[in-house]
Amino acid sequence: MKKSFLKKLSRNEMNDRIFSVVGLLATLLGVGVFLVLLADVAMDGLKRLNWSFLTSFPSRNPFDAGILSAWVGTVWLMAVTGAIAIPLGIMAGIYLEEYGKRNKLAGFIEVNIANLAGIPSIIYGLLGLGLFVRFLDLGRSVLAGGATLALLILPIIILATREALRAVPVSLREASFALGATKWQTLKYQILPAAFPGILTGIILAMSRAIGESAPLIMIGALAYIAFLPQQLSDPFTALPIQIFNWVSRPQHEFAVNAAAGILVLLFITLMMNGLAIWLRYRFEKKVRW
Amino acid sequence: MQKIIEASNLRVSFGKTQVLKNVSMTLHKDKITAIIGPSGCGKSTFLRCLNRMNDMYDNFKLEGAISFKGDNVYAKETDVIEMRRRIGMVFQKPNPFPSSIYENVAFGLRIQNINDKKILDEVVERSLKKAALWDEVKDRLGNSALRLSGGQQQRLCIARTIAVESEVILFDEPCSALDPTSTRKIEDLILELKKHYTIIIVTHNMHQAKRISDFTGFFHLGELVEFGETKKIFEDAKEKLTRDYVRGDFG
Amino acid sequence: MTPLRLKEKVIESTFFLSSSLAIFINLAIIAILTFESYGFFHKVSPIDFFTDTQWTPFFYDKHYGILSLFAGTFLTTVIALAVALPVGLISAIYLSEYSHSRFRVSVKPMLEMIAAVPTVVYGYFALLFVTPLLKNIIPGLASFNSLSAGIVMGIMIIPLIASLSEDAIHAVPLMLREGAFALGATRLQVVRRVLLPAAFSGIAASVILGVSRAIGETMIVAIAAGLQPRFTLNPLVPIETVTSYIVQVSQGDAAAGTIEFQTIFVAGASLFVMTFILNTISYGLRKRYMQAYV
Repeated sequence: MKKSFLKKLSRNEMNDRIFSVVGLLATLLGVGVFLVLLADVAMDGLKRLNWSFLTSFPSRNPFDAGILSAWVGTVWLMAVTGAIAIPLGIMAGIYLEEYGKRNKLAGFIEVNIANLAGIPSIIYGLLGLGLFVRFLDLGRSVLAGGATLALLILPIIILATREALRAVPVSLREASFALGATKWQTLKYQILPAAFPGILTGIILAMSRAIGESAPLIMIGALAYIAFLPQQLSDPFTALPIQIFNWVSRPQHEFAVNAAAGILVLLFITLMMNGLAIWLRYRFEKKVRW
Repeated sequence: MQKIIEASNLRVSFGKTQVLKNVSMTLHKDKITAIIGPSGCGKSTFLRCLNRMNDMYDNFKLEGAISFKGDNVYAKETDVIEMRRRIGMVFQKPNPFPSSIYENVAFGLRIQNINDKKILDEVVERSLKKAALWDEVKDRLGNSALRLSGGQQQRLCIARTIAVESEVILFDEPCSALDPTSTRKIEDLILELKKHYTIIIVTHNMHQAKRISDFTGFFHLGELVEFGETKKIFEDAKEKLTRDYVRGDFG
Repeated sequence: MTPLRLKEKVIESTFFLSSSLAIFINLAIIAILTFESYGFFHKVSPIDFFTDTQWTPFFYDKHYGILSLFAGTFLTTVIALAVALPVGLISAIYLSEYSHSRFRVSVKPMLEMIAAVPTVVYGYFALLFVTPLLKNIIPGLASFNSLSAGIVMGIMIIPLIASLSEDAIHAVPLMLREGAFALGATRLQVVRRVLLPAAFSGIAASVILGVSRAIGETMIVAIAAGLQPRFTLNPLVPIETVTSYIVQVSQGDAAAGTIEFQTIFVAGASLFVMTFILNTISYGLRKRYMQAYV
């Protein structure tokens, strides 16, 4: 009797031990694959990554081709996207968190934002095609592309802003109100500065998401072969992910190598941005002590 | 004795929970009024009604009236901003702004668009002196207020309120987060401030109420059980409930 | 009204307008999808659309049976989920209940990084690393197939399921755990009998969100799964998903107003409806567990 009791107990403990190993492996699986991916891309692309690759236009000859128009296009896109999405997103986030808490309309807006956050990026591409390219007649331009990506990341910035505002302690608001500050004064002088690192983190993550997006830009009609740089907002454009997609889709191995080199550049940018965001958040969390 | 704030038939609820039931109370100018009672009796809620700090909560509902110098605090045309400036508040936990000592005190003026350095310097110094903090911080006004000790932070919060020339200062258990020495300093300061300010202090510390206040109100389950001169409440209360409470039988 | 109050009002109104943009964007999406779909269904009967098993808009013999695109989407989604669900859930349990907090703190940023990799990069990885690797094991595997696209998509979704499920498990009150531990249960028993049932709606929400993400994923399938609409559940052959069809057409030159142009909006509309339903369910479930515990 006593023996079987002990035996059963140890079997349960054995399962527990086994799970702790399986769990560790499962958790590290993603990380492992990520490292394999990095190694694979680096092995293919590193040898192609040089100065002329960064400063050449695309070409039919894979050895002459570069990503100049691609990265310049990405810079243009991000400027447009940021200029639209950052102010709108922050203002919308402030409204929902600080002003609109009582009314039903704000609740409805909230549901709309939750829905937007879950819509696949390709649908934003269709939106951009229908709304910006055709209805507003912006053509297949940097402006249309940037505006489309802006709508795509708007929910991310709104949610990040709200979260950052929510993390500011009530006591700070009370202190400001009790001195006779208005709502906007309280926001401007106390709440927003305190929430700034959190909002910034959200903006960086949102922008890094936008940099990596390809599907909506393909819908908008970003072209892979652009042998000039955009001069104004109405010019056609290409972008890094588009160039990579184009090269991956070609059967010749040399173009795959180009794609890998382009991926290294793209990954460098997005991972740096994410690293920065994570570091900011970590620092911010440590610093808060009211 | 001049009355400054008058609450009549105050009924307050948050959502479905009624927190104050028919409270009426008259507060006198340049006196210290203590509000005591067991936790959850509605004493803090009452205090926060006086300068409309409860407006921040979505489900807050108030019936009855509060007047400040004859004006209805909850009237539609009341300028809440101006009213809050004149009825200042010091909170349970010190809540300095995450900026310098100087800017903490100057904030209330800056939001009134007073940015003249000379005026600000003067007000900051005067306010800190009145709050008995000047000597401790005069050499480091640019330092972060968050680096001060708890008691110093609380005195800074008082200085902040003095700077905007409040007439009434509401204290919501200002010493509950402080050690006995700091508590002592705050109490001395409150007694000193009495000369120019009307003070209402919520406290769970009966000795504190007894030591510093002129009047005392005892709240229980959302009702004002008894209100009168402090000496009378503590030594010769009319209600049995009050006598039991001040004796320490419950709470 | 005093100038100060006027200023406050103007600011509030500006902020309100910014946030109401969300309603407008949703309306615009619905309007555009509806408008173009309406044009499409003028030419193609909805019955054919939902029952035909061929999708050949560019052939001489045109068929518009969305089922073959649905089959592709279904196949890649199921494969992705077969990878992401067990791995993500086990990771969530491990991170919440087994690992040291220091381990958790260093692994979570890594998971975030995995989620941040642009999908075009995953497409490259699926086509040029995973498929050649699998070809060694499965000789009949085509160069474009749903298997490697699905697997890589699954890896991409792991962080989403892991992190949201972990939140759900973590939110179960400590009391419930302590109660079970006091009865002599091991951690695994606590997980199985207490935490998983208690966190069920939160976990379900994360999985449904993962499904929605897989359905909407575009670049991985456009690069690695082929562009051949096929009504099949065979993971070894080229297929086409709803999303990759849209990409394929927009790379070409379908003129506005033509039926080819309208097909991408019809495909988009069906995608929108699917993800909308899934996201709504997930949102509802998440709200429920948040009310219960947070």
